[in-house]
Amino acid sequence: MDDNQIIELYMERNEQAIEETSSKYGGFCFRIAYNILANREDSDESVNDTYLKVWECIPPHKPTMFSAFIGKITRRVSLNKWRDKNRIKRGGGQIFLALDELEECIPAESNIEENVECKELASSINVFLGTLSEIERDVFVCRYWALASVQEISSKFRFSESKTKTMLFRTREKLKVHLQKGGFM
Amino acid sequence: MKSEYILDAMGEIDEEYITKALKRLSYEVTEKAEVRPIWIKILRRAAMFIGVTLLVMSSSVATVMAFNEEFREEVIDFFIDFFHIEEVEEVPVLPVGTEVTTESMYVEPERTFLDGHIEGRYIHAPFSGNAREGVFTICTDEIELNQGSHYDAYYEENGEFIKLQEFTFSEEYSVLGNDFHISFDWVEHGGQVVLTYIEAEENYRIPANPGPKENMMIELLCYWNTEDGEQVETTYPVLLDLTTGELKDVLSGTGAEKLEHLANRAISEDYTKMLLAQDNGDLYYVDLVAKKLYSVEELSGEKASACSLIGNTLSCWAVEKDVYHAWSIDLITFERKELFSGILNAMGTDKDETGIVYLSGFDTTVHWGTMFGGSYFAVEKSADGSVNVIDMETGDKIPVEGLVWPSVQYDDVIWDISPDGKRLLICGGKIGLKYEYIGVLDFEKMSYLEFARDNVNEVNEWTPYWFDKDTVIIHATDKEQYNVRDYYVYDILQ
Repeated sequence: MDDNQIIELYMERNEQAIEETSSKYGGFCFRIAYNILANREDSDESVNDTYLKVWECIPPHKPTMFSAFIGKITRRVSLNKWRDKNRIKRGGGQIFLALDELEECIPAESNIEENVECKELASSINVFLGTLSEIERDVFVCRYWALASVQEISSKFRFSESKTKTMLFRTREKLKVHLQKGGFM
Repeated sequence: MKSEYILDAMGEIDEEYITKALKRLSYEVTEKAEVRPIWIKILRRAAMFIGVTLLVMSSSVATVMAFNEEFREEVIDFFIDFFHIEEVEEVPVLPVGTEVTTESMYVEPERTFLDGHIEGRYIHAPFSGNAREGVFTICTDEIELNQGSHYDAYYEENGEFIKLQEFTFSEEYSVLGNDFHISFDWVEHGGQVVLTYIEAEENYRIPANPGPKENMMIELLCYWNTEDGEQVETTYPVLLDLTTGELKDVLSGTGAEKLEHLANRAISEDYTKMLLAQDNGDLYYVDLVAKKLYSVEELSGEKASACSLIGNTLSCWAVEKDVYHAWSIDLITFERKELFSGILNAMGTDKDETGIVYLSGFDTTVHWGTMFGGSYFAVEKSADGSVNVIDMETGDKIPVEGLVWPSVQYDDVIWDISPDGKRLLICGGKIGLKYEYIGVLDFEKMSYLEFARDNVNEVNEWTPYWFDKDTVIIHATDKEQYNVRDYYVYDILQ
């Protein structure tokens, strides 16, 4: 079933929408959740929570890109679950590594949490992503949106791990400059 | 944590960017991912580690690995996953200076990169000749340096440069009716001879790794006349004992002394076996104890392109229409055993093809001026980039998890086998001054270590190579003065 048909089921409040979503996007959502939570049971729970949230959102919302829409919800739900559980570093999935890496984009003296709202920062990061080459952007989004491991990214992009790491490192450096110029730090 | 704000903000980026990235990851599949929970992986790794430790203590892990496919794959999985590397080394520019004293050579204290698997040192060495076999050759006299003259040899230990005692060897010999005056300066380090000066090589050749002082390899350019009056030549290998001056003609009485146009040689570590190659590609095995010469073609029943001497096994292969087939000869029973066939030679072909991308054997080519008896392993890649190592003694294929063969053309890839034949240095993707990747494939441990280096300062680096069996070295030079050198030295700890 294509995405538009699935969305129509949601609009009609037809519960088959969830079955179809699970069938088509179950694995997809699980992958995103697992990258963050690194735990099967929690990831399953996140995926179920995602279906509930999507059911609550549509209608009135009618997404144009269903995969991105459901991916974002999964990611948000999983991040919240991760915060709630307050996991220790080992066994916590890629998220701790990603957070460590992103710390490089912020100088120690920055008071970013006082000055910025998420939407403003997102807007700035969007602009930044638009300045990157397609491959640099895809690699960056895979790492810091999907929280895929460097190994997975390397395998999918047919890069060496060294190349992936170097590319991410350079992109983070560029993001740091961009955020400084944007007055976020 | 402040970076959480960025992570959260990433959640609100353009959906088109998200969709494209997810497509790259193939996250749009419909089946649920069968991801093994991490706690099970940790327990299995712990069990394997204990298992491996016990095996190492009680028997040969290699033997177990050879006979137990499942065990081998589990052990490989453990070792490959264990060496995950996070830190990126920013290659520094070393302090500039043209002092010619060793006291002024800057050495950054050892520091660990790459999760403790590699230790790095940085050495600034003005007026250095080269670095090999664990030794730095340095000329501290600028005039002599410009004359291309004598070098002193040093080794580095704990930031100190220790000068090695130099010896002069000068003797005259007569071999196969030819007279030789052999003269050179040498030092000893790690049980091996390193030359520091050699007279112009008129009629002899010394490999870059000639061996220990009691049995140093040297090839003598010999001429003789055939019965037809034709003059023929050969580079005839003999051993020298530098402590006594004795010349050991180990091939005497084997029949090899009559072989014309010898172009290459290799000798086993225990000096009981030798390989010889004529420049027409014919290969020979010599039993130095029994004083017997064998044609590899006659032993095999067919001509070999190259071979590897692995213990009491001579592994051979031939390439026909770009396809490999390989066999081994047991040097005790002379029985032939088939190793593999039908594997494509993927070197230099389209990168998506499955086939062998590395296999280096003994043939007529002198590799980097060294003695080389052939590699113990071959590397095969699949169309999806996954890698197998082929044991050239047994023909077994061992998957190397975690290593994706670099997606670059063959011409870009450089590899160098370690002096003990147990590790392969792979590097390539050189763009300008920067290598895209440098990695070490350990055939014994079946692990792959990838350097995470960023030559952000655009240091003028040359090709990485093995400094000794456990150390990779990269030298960088001033863009105009090639004898002002910096060395980036990486000890492989695992």
